[in-house]
Amino acid sequence: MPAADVASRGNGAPLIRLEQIAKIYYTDDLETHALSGVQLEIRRGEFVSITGPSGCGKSTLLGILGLLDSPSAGEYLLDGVAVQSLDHIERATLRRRDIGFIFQAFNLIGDLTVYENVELPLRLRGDSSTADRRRRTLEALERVSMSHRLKHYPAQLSGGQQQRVAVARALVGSPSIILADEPTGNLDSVNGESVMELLRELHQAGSTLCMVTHDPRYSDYAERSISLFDGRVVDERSREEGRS
Amino acid sequence: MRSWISDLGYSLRRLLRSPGFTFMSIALLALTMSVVIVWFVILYDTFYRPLPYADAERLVFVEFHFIKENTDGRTDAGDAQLFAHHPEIFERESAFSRGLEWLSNGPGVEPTQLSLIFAEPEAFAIFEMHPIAGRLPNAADATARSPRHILVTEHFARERFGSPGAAIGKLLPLHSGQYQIIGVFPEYPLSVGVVFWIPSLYTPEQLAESAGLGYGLVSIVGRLAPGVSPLEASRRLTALVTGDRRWAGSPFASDVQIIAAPLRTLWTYPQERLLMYSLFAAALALWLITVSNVCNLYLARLAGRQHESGLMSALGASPGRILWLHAQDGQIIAGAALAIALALAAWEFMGVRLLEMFPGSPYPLQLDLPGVAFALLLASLLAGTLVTNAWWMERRRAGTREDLKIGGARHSAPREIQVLRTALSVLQVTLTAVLLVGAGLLIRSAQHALHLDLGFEREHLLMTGINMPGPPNAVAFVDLTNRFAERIRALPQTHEMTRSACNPLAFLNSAPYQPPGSQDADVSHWAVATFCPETAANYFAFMHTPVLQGRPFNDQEARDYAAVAIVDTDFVRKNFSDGQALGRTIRISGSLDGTAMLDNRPSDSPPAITTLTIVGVVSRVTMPWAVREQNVLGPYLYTPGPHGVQLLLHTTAGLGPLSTDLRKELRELSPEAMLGGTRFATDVLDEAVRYLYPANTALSVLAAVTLMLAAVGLYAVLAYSTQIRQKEFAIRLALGESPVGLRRSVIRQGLRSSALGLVLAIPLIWLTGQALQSQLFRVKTFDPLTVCTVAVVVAIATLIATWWPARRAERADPMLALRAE
Repeated sequence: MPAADVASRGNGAPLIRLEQIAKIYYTDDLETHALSGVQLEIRRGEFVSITGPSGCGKSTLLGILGLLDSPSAGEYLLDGVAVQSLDHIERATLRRRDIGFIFQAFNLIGDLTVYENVELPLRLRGDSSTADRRRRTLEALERVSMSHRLKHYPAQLSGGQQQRVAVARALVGSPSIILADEPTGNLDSVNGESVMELLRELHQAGSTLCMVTHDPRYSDYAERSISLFDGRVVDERSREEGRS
Repeated sequence: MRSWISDLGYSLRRLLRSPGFTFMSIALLALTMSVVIVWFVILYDTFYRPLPYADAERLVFVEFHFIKENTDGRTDAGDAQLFAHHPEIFERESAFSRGLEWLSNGPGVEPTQLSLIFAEPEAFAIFEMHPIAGRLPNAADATARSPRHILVTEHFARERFGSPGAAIGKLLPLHSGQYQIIGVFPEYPLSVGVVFWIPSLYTPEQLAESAGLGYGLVSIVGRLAPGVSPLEASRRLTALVTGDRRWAGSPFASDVQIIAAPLRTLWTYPQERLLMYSLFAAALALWLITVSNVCNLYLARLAGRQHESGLMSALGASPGRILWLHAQDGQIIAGAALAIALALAAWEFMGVRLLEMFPGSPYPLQLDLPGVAFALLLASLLAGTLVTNAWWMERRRAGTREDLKIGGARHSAPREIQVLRTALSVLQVTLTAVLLVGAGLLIRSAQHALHLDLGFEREHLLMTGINMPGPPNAVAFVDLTNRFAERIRALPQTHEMTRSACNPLAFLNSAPYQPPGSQDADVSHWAVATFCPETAANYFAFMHTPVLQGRPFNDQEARDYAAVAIVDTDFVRKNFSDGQALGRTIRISGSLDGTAMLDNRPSDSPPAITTLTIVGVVSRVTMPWAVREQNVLGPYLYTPGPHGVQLLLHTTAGLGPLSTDLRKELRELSPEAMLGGTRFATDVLDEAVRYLYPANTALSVLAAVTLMLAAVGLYAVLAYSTQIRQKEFAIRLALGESPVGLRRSVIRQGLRSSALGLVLAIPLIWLTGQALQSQLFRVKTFDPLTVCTVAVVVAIATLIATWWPARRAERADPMLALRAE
């Protein structure tokens, strides 16, 4: 996709819009405010990183963005749809259609082969033929350079290879946004860089990415960086602003 | 010691922290172990427990067998006399018979019916019975009169007189007279349930005036002479019988075989042996599968404790010490399972006794020393297996550093173990299906037998009659029966009544007849019919047995013993190829006067030959005891008569109150006479079916337990699988799987295992059907209805078993996917 198109998509209506999002956990008589008054917009084609120290609410925010969790208060619009009132089935439908996940611990299913792991989101959608699924799965694996390991099980792969497969799984369904939770957290620096390059390529090809990381080196890959502290957005700056 | 107690406490606390694993493992192991223990005791007591007699292998029980019909007859007093004094066969020989007596409980109080044995003094010696008080009987006791002599059980003596010693010399008011107690016996294996022993002699002289002893069924036992094998004894006994004058000229003579069978055959039959072994094998397999399942859970638990092992190792614990700590869990599980299994087994034995599953067992079925020893063996095997698992896991430890890296998180069992566990649950379903089908085939057979058209109306049909103590006097007996019948007819509870010398509920006679067209005058060459003389005129109308051709007997014919006969369709089919029997004549060897049947003392005069004219054809009736082998009974031939001693009535009254009334009426007629077998036809049929299918109840219970265990096993596998797959479910949810989809996937997993189990069961079901073929009645060996029903039952059990794990999968937290290990 030409760079100009990418830029124009980024300037359109926000894909994600969070309004005064709060998340409160209750344990016995203790009330923990994981997120408070979070305002956030992510436009199509953007690469946004969310940074902050451990326990600042990064993963909680990602869980809400990925419809894995619901906010205690506030409004969440995904592609213009208010999602906080959706039931489990509707949220699952949105997840398999619009969201791709990359996890810190890779989260490949140990009983499935590389091919089956990547094919899984397409199978869950159930709207494509076997041939179509196969074509798209192989394409995704080609993009992450893992098409030579189709029949391997996750345990037979290195950490870097597993995360590449996880990236292929996230992008195979052409989701509206890919959410990455510390994608380099379990990798050494060489493999970490490699995965970040892969994400950069995806972004350049037009994908919308939102990545949680605590490593400032990797947040520089994003166009825009949002800093969280104690559940609040304390800073937001573009890559250029960051460099200056 | 303190260290051991401390370790034990630590293990207990750890087990209590996993209540699901602990209680489910112990409960399943205990339940299956108790079933195996109960079956072991039943098998051991029935087949292997040494009989408490010296040279027990030389003790034989004499059986009467009809070769062509492949049925067993019974020996009588005549046989006992015939076999006596043959030292070339028996070193010792004796006879006994079982009976019932009424013990008076005082004026106005219902007497108590108790079981007794009439036994020759020699029988007490053969069975090496020793009184704990008093003395053994001798020949003088068998001939004693006023008071007669009797021996009682220890239990009875204690209950009635306080102690065995106190019972000696006391008088017992029995229905047939006063008896003086001369000895007290403990309970013996061969006389379970018997309360009294009355010394008797089966000599012609004694039989002529014997008290309470008739010419009925007499059991003969003996100790074979040294060097005589049971086979040789059988051959010699058969020669004795067939050469006896009682059988001279009989068409049955060539059909008779006398078998000197090992004493155990008194209570077991070959088909029962096969069935009981099969059931024991099934119970054992069930236990082994449960052990495998528990081992698997235990392995998974040990795998989840690698971090703890690493930590203990880092703190200086030796591998042996770590193994000891882990192994203690297994020992506690085995010990708890053993204790609960023993308690459960005691309850199950109560159930076995209550349901009368094995009424013929030689020993009282209860948890005895061999049972406890076997339970200990099972528990030791279980503990050993669990400890071996712990040892295996300890050997598989990669090292302290690697163990510590695991971080204490719960890990799943290795993939190969998960596959093994699934395979075991599939196997469990297979076994369950086989057992359910086996039980289903037998239950359906029993149902068919219960609802079989017997050829007469069974509802509200009651049979009764009288028993006379003392020497048989046919004329007096018939006279008393006539008067008793009049009393019964006058009772308000009696709706209708009829009489016959035999009836299909209790007793049938047989007689040779000359096949039509045959000129052979030799009776021994004649065919044999089921012969029912003394049939009242209203008999067929009363029994609702249709008269298909001709007419029933009339009153005049019944009064005059008219030379007419009514035959059944089988008789017509076998003897008249044109199907026309009416007006034809046949010759039979036997008296039309049923009184003669009552007096079956050996007689030198040949039986009378009577020519009968057939006046009617009725449909065939079946004895409840012969529903499975109806061809055993010959064609029926009825002749009229007024004095049938088998009394049949229609009544809607209950058995208890009616029996009381009948007993009262009889007592007024004769203080000595006793009410004979008084039972409803439906009860007789029910008992017959229970006799034909003795293991039905046990098999059904075992199948139900198996089904429950299979469901629980499947639940355990799925529940654990669901637990260790929570992360996977979270990932699937994150990738867009709906909760309902997850629930369905778990249910599908369970149904797949069950379906595979059912498919694998098909050849075994076929084999089971083949093995049970001889037991089946109007049911195919591979019965589609039974198989489909079992499939549905297994599917329902699977759905129930998978429901909760599926719900748990449905409720998986998708945020778990974001949490790193």
